[in-house]
Amino acid sequence: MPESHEAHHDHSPVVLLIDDSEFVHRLLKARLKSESIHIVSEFDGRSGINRAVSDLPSLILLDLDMPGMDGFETLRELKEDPTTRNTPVIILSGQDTTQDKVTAFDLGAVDFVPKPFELTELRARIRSSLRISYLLSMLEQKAQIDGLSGLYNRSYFDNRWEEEYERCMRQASGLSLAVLDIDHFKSINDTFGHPAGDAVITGLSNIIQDHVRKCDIACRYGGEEFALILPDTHPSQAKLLCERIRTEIENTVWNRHPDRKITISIGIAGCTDGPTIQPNKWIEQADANLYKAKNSGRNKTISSMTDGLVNPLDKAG
Amino acid sequence: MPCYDQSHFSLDVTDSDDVELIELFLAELPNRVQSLNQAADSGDFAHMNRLAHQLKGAAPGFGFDSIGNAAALLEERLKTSNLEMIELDHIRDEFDTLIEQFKVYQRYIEP
Repeated sequence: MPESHEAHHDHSPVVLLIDDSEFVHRLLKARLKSESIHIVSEFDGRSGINRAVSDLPSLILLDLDMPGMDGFETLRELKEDPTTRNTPVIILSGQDTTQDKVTAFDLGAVDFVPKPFELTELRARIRSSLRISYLLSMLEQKAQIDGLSGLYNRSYFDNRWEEEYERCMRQASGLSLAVLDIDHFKSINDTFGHPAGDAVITGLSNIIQDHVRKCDIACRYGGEEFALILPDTHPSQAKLLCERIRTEIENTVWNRHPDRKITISIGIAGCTDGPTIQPNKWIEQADANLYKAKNSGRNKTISSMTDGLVNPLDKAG
Repeated sequence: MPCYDQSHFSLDVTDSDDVELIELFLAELPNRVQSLNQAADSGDFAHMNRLAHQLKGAAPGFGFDSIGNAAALLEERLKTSNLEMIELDHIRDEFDTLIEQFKVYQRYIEP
């Protein structure tokens, strides 16, 4: 799961209030005490934007009339930054001419509440905006998640692989890519039926989730193929992780076919201090290692460095 | 706790949450008056405009409708004037009305 969504699961949604008047902060904090929201305060546009980027609030309440950077400018910047673009913004304002309202909505505000507040109404509007923002974030998350496995889907993998590749290059850090494939998956489907095959996909996905770290990205790459992006991980460490997954799968007893073991084959390609090949070549290399594992008896992990050096652990094993 | 005259407040003076807000605003009230007077003395009408604008937005939320209304009138008057050219006499009525509204509440402020 993306961290930002997870962070809000067991906490109240964060609402960021940007207003230069200390009174408004006190008033709203006192008046919204009974709502299950957490209000954070900023007193000018610039600090508000920085806070929005760092805290990723579920909703922003924004004053229009502030000295320096005014509310419209602040709103414009919030809507230009991809991090905050989708955060709903309610304008709170003592200026309430039609032109102000039209400008606010044109710039991307979801609502406009004139000051002084009618508090019952403001509460209802906050709730309504939070509801919409929650549904939108769920929708966005849904679009990235594979329905059967609960892992990230292929399109998320494609984007994220590019990002992690770039990060690896910027920071000259380690990065490993592991490709996992279920051995003889077709025969499981053919012999025990598709529900049994689905159960294997789900079971393997759960095992993967149990073993990866929070910063790792586990994806369902295709039918019975999975990909793990492992940031800051040397291929030798990646191999240890994949071996744990492989062993656990091998030792799992499946309800639908207790006598039929399931095994997986894994190919890994990784680097220790920055990429040495293009991102698509990297995937090809991990795939080639998977192919080698398949061709040398399956149920094994083969890993290599992207610079072509042999992984020391492979020599030993 | 001082005894609040309900006719002075639009919030419920028997509700402890409401009284908390009233007291928050009362605590800041002398500073507000001082700032307004300073702005008037130094002819800083832009600052006065901001103070009036803030009061208009905030005061009613704390139960001080009459201050909010007086501040709105002062802001309105300032808004239609050229802040560079204006003199205190031009806004005297609105300014005095606002200050008088503050005085209504002075009895609640502990010395």
